[in-house]
Amino acid sequence: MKFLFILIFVASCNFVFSHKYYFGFAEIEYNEINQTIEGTLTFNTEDIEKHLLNEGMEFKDLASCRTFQLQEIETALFKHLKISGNDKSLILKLEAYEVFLDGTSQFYFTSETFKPVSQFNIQFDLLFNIFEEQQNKITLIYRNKKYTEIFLHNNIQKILEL
Amino acid sequence: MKKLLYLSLMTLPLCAISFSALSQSKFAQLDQELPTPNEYRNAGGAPGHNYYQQKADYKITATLDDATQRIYGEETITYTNNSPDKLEYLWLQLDQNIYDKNSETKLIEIEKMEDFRSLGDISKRDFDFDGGFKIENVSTTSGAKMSYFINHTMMRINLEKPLASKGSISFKVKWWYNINDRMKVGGRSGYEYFVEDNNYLYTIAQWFPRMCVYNDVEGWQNKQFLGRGEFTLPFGDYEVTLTVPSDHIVGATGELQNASNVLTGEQRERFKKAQSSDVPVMIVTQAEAESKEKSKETSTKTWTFKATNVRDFAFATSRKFLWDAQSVNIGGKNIMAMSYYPKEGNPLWERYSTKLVAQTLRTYSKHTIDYPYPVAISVHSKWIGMEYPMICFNGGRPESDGTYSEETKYGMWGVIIHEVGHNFFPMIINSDERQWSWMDEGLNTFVQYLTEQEWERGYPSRRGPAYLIADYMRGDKRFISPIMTNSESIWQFGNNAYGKPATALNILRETIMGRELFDYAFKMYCERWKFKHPTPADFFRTMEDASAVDLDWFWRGWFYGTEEVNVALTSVRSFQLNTMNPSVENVNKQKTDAQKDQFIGDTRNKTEIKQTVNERDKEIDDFYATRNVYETDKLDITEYEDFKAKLSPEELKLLESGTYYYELKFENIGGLVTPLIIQATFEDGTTEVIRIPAEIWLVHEDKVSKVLAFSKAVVSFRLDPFLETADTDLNDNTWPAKLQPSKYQLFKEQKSSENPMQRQIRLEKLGQ
Repeated sequence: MKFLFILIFVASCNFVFSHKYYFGFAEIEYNEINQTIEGTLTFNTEDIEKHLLNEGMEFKDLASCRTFQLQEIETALFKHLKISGNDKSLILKLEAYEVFLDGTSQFYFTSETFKPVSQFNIQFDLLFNIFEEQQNKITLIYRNKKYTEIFLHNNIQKILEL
Repeated sequence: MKKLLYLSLMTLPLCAISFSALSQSKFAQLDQELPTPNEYRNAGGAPGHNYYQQKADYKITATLDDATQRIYGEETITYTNNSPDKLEYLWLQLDQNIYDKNSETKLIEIEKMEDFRSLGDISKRDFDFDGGFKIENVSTTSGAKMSYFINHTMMRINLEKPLASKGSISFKVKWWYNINDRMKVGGRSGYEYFVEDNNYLYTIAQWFPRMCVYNDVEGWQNKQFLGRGEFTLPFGDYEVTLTVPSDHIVGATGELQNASNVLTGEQRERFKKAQSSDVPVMIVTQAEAESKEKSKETSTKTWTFKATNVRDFAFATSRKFLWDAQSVNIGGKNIMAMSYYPKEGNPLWERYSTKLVAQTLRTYSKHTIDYPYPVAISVHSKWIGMEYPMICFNGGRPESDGTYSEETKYGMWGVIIHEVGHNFFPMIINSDERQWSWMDEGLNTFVQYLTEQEWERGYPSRRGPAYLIADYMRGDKRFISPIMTNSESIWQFGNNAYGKPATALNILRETIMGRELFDYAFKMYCERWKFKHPTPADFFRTMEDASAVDLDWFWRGWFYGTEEVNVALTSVRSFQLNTMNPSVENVNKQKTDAQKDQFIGDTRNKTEIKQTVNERDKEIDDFYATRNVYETDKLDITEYEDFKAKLSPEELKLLESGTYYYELKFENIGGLVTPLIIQATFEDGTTEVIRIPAEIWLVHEDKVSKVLAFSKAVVSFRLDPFLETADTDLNDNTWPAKLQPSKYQLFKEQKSSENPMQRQIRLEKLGQ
């Protein structure tokens, strides 16, 4: 489904309005014992389904995706969430996801192992290519300190000094 | 560490006077923001003694051409000017012109080249559809041409002589238009084409030139239709005749007048049975509809409907329709709840739709006004959710194999409740959607939430509960609009116009006003403004006027601002009363002193200095060195008895009560003032909840403190324990500090049993 269609639809259908959230969240925490990032992405299910379809995935709906499609979902998500620690790009692995009846889905992921860093460089532009009003927010917990950043269309990359 | 509080100190806080009272912006009255009350709308939020509204009655004759997907229509409008003003011209809405090739909607759409990355993108952008009204004629009832001018989605009819106050005028308009394919063009109405059986399903609305509202607030409401802000129209009576293929079934605003001409005897019998049935009765079965799908009649039939005191008229027609109906009793009146749907909607639609319509009428009538119309209809078409008087069009389609996901089921339930609910807001309580989306979407979403919870315990409502709006409210404030923003300029439309106002009303009902006060005031607003045109000020004023609760701070914060609720419990100090009893207090002092931190030098000196001078030379220690400061002597006891003798019995009881005092400090980080709901958990595991009104922030808007007294020792405090204030950060709500587990941690915890993905793997292995 492409952009123009969505725009026209959004502009003219009451029901569709009520299902648009335009907000995405990433909650990530550095686990010092495992030396990995553990995180959760929370997005509106219908929005993320549109993204996955745009990325060429074929499925009925997210809830009925087969496990072999996890790799495809991982690729589609982490094209738009990239995390580097001290300039080293981290490989993110999707562990699982859940679809909730309140219309949201959560995607659980971990990173490869890495030693503590002094800086994270994060790009988080998931759904920006679909929704004009999309805003993404990240909350990072690192050594019991909380860092929050908001990502907008004109600002898709942030550096977090720890 | 526990501190001792002396009686004399207890009065000190009373003397503390704040000098920050000058800054009371959050609690300032809405004098500047609200319009001055007048004879049309009074200060209590009710219609004023000279309130008026216009009336527009319609007689419409229309024909649907199923072969070309066109509508041809002619209408006679009788417009009555109840205003005190003379009107030099009349304005009509031409909403179909949003599909005109020169529509402003397309022109103002923000576009970037990267939006068009494929031929498909470009062809959709340049999709060629000859939409919009083709106005053929505007004339007097005697046929004389009238002068008119079309300004995009508005048409001005120039009157030869002004329409006087209390006068009325009748005139005719003749038009036709091409019906839009909703799957390609989108839209709140249009047709859905079913390629499998080559049939159309029409959901037709905003389909005839309609009178604009003229009132005391805006004069003519002739704001252009740009797509998002819907509409408001004057009330009136309708008589509509619709000519459609003879095998079509038509559902419409109002009551069918000629059932004997358009329904079979069997259908009429079934309908009669439905009129006294409290469960749905099939009037057109799936087998009958499937049979008509194949035969496709070319002859026509004319259906006639009448509707009284409605603000619009819409209809749906198709040979694919199944039709079921039941009766629902509201305030002693039997209402027909009905559904029209193609077989593609089953099994969901036959099972749920009409029952949902009936329950929506029951719950809304309880919380607002008794449903006043004779019918309420839910029509199914794909990818839609739109409301009109007595009829609405709803999505929620199962898979072609007849299965459906739980999300589809709840999506369908939610949209039917929501759109049927729109009968109340704004079809009857007729607010101006083109100005204020929240007045219908927000209020409706709130009652939708109440209905959902009555439909199923634990219904996963998407909007309504306070905690569901927290993520939105902590977003970047540069890209969040206040609720009081015109419909076309809103950022985050769904959250802003639906979610946040519904949440705000829930917070008023559950936390700030309480259910009894809120329900009375909310119902009062609905009663006052049914079949009238309310504005935001009328709502704000009625809610206060009927409850004696000053809510200006609430409207200011939640409706005029974008701040969030984020209160932190920053510190807790505990105290106990000094009993003044020397035998008790001296022991306490000894214990306290023994627990004091030791300086490292003192600790080391205990062993490193083998003997001090005074330990060697007994002559060194005098009275001060040898006295026992923890000993209770006779003088202490005498003084204590004297002290007690001066106390009243009440003071003595308090002194001996052993009450625990806790001083809690709060910081308002988010800026939006809110009540403080504090849960104290005691050593024995019991709890107590203290509710402090938002007015605690009246003087100090950023930091406040409160002393709480309990008969038992508290082991922990929690702020907002029932998630009722939309606090956006729960991590700073507890004492002792306790971080909320991350979603990932919660996921890992549940993983110990089995997560959904693991279950899926097992299931797939079973299938291999």
